[in-house]
Amino acid sequence: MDVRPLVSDDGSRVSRRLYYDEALYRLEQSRVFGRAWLFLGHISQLSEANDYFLTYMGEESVLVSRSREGVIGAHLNTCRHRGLRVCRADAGNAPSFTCPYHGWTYGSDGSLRGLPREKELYPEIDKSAWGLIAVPRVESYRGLIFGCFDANAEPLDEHLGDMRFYLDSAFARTEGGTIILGGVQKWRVKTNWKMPAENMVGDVFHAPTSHETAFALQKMAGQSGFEDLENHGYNVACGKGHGITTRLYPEGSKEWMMIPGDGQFSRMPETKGYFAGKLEEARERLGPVGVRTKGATLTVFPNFSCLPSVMSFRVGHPRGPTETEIWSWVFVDAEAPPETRAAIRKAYTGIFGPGGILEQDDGENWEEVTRGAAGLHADGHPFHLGMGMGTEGAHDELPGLVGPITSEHPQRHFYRHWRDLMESEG
Amino acid sequence: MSGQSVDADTLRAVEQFLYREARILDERRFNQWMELLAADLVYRMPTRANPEGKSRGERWSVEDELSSDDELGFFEDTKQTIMGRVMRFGVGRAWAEHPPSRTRRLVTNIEVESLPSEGELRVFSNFQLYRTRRETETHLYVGQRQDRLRRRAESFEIVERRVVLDTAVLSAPNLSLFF
Repeated sequence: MDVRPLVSDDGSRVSRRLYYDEALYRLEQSRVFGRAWLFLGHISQLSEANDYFLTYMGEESVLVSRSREGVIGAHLNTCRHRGLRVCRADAGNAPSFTCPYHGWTYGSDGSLRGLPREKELYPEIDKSAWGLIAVPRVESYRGLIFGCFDANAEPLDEHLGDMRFYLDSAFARTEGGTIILGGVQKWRVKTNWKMPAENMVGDVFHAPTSHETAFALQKMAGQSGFEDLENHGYNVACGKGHGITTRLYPEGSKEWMMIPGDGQFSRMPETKGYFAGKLEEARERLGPVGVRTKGATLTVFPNFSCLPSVMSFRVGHPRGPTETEIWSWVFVDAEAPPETRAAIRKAYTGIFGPGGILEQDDGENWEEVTRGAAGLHADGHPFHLGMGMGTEGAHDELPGLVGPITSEHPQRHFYRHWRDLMESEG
Repeated sequence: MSGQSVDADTLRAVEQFLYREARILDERRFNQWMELLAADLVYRMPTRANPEGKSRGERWSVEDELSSDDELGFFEDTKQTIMGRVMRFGVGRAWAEHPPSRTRRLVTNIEVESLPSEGELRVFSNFQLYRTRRETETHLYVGQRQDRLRRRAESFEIVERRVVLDTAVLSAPNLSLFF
């Protein structure tokens, strides 16, 4: 399959087929999801030995666990005997997993521990060769655990590159780090996985149109809508397909502007005091530029996104060329007191997630992309990603390729990286 | 522990109240719906998961699958935030509901129990909320409401509503509806 023509060299023209073509989707499973660092979960999901949770890497069910010895690993959730998923719960704590079919039993480290009537029926078996299939690489950054099917992939650190600076401003503000709240929102949108990923990589520009009604509400409540992003926002391409829309406030900005969020957390008593009290520590840990940096939305290629402005992150699991299953969590500082956590949780729920007044319209838009994209006669007319061509460049404070929020260069960058992976046979 | 059952008139009045509420919502008369909500309304929908089973022999309770009050749910609304939602639909161009969904709420299995607090009732009801949009987009939401109603004038107001959806992964792109 010739992938090269599907994305122009400058990334400003992208074929409609990326959003509905079955053959491209199949190829993505090996060339994108088979090679990229994929988000697995948060370290706070594995605080004790034998803790585990299930997730997906691409389409495959993956069991992520902390072994008895404390080692974090990931294994394909499929019995080596007849393929059943050996783990049947979303999360929990278990020293072993037994397949319900014939009783093959695996430890929390993925090793094959026992077979029924083993000595009698499997006298010759080399158990070390029949453990759960391991995901060869599992690494974490600031509490975010990633896995990779490519044993030779560069370390996660290097892969994240300039994105680390931006992840730090959300996840490395305090000594205690972050935890996720219990509960995860899971919902399906009939859209290709690249749409939600692209939406968060540098597309805040849709907000005044798509979310006009939400901004109208905010204005009625005396809050700023889009102006803060227009005044202090930047779009950044961070390398390897990653991107972010971030704010950078000038030196000498008022303290309250450094408080995370879109302004709501600097107003609510439940959050204002807590965050203000942590600013000094954040400044020490993040540095003078990091503390003035506040992300709005970001994507770590391919399908992990984060909304630092409401303390949320998510992954979009591919479910065929025109469907994505989104899992979304709220994270908080481990040190945040209960009333701060509750306020953050409520702020998130009101605007994001399937009940959120912003996200509702995003879901509608993304499904409409699918409905409108395909067609024999539309096929020759690629999408236009050329807004703000050439407005990006180096910045004296922010790492990465920086441009205005009206530049689609993070999206161009995302698709060019996609094309690189898809073209290379590896 | 179940509460005391109520007399037939009260039972009938609550049933009619819930049916009327469903019709008002299906007719998209959101301002009229808000009149049925108490000022101190708490409206929540937890998320639902597949947790580990408890030890052998114990039944898995529905509660074990649901997010607790300090965990992440789908809705955590007050009357004020619901007013915001309704106002948003009124602005127009709230694309998830523009054009608006066609809905049909089927409300059944209504049980009414008295509560120790004066004038309040515990009400359970099951629902199927059938929804279509545009040409053929179709969704079905099934679940239960656990309500606390308070008598007001000749009718009731909804003080507390907890919506339990019977799914772990939503098959719909949004929950831009009132349950």
